[in-house]
Amino acid sequence: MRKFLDMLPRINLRLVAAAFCAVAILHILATLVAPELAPSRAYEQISQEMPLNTMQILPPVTPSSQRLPFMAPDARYALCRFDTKDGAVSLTATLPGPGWIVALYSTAGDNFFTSVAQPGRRTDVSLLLVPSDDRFRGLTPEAKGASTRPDEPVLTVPAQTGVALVRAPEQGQAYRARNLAELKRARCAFRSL
Amino acid sequence: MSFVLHRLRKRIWTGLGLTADWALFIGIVLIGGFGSSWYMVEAGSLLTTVRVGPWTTWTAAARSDADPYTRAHYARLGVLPLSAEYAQTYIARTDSDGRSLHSSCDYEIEGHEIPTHWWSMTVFDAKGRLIQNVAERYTFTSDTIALEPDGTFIATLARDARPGNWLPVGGAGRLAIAFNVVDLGIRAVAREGEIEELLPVIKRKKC
Repeated sequence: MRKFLDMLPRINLRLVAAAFCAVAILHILATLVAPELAPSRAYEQISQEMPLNTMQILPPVTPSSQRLPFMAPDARYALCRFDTKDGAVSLTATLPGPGWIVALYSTAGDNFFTSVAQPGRRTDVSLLLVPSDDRFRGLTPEAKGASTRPDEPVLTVPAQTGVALVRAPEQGQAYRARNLAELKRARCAFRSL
Repeated sequence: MSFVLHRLRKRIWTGLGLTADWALFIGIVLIGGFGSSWYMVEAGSLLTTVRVGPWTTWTAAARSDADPYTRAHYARLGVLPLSAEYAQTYIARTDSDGRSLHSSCDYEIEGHEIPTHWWSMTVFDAKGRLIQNVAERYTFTSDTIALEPDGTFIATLARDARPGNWLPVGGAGRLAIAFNVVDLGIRAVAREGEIEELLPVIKRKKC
């Protein structure tokens, strides 16, 4: 203890304080940059070779068809890679029962919209995806003269591109055909404004 | 002559001391900065995760207001999780006694149905890949698991076939179990920690 106390005057306190600051700055930078340095982004993995603005049903998740880590075969997925650069994208899906979900992701993986099936009734999801910069400039679908349906709310999306995911839960053999038929009814299409 | 040598030696020692100080400084900064960031992104902290027994979940997963650690964690993992507002994914890499899950051991997972939620339980290898098996069985959901009359269930993780809810683990080595819970929205009021109380217990039976 005494040896340590004798050493204290020799420790450069300014250097110690500078080290703390430098550690904090490096910690913040490393954390903020980490998503950009990720070896493969989920969006790119899951949407590779997918056509734009078209809903496609992914094959059942198996060891050979698993596109993402920890992607469980507890559901079947329909996926649409949307791009609102040239106009709005309309998205429709029906969620027939518990466990069904529609989720929209940005390319960074943010889940910015989710609709979960309501128990005891079918839930119809119908959305018109419009990029947020158009909204900011007042270029809403209505302002551009496009007709919007009252049952199709306009959703301002924070990203021009992303993926829409319809998730049908695995409920056993008896429900597979029905769930697949419901997934096939999901639509994702470009709508010019 | 000896005076010049003495001054030279003194200068060399001073230079070496300064270099050592700076090397120490840079070393501490690099290890401290990158190390603490890596730990917070990989393992999380009390601010970003909830740990219950062997289960860990990230509380702000996929939310648009997620903190940078959660964002970095999921970007590095390369997954598309559902928003934590509607669903939670709990990952276990150890049994309830804290020993790493390994395919050379048999495990029993004891749980209880969660009436207000839809859930699934899937076994992966340590990197999150499904484990190839002849039975093509990788997961159980709240719809497909065989429940006891009292609403409880026991699932077995083992290499060889077992009666009941058996999930094969093959020769995958280290394992990870994912427990996904989706809120069905049938309650008027959600109570904090209600899922955590019902998370399954993982018991090692034999190795």
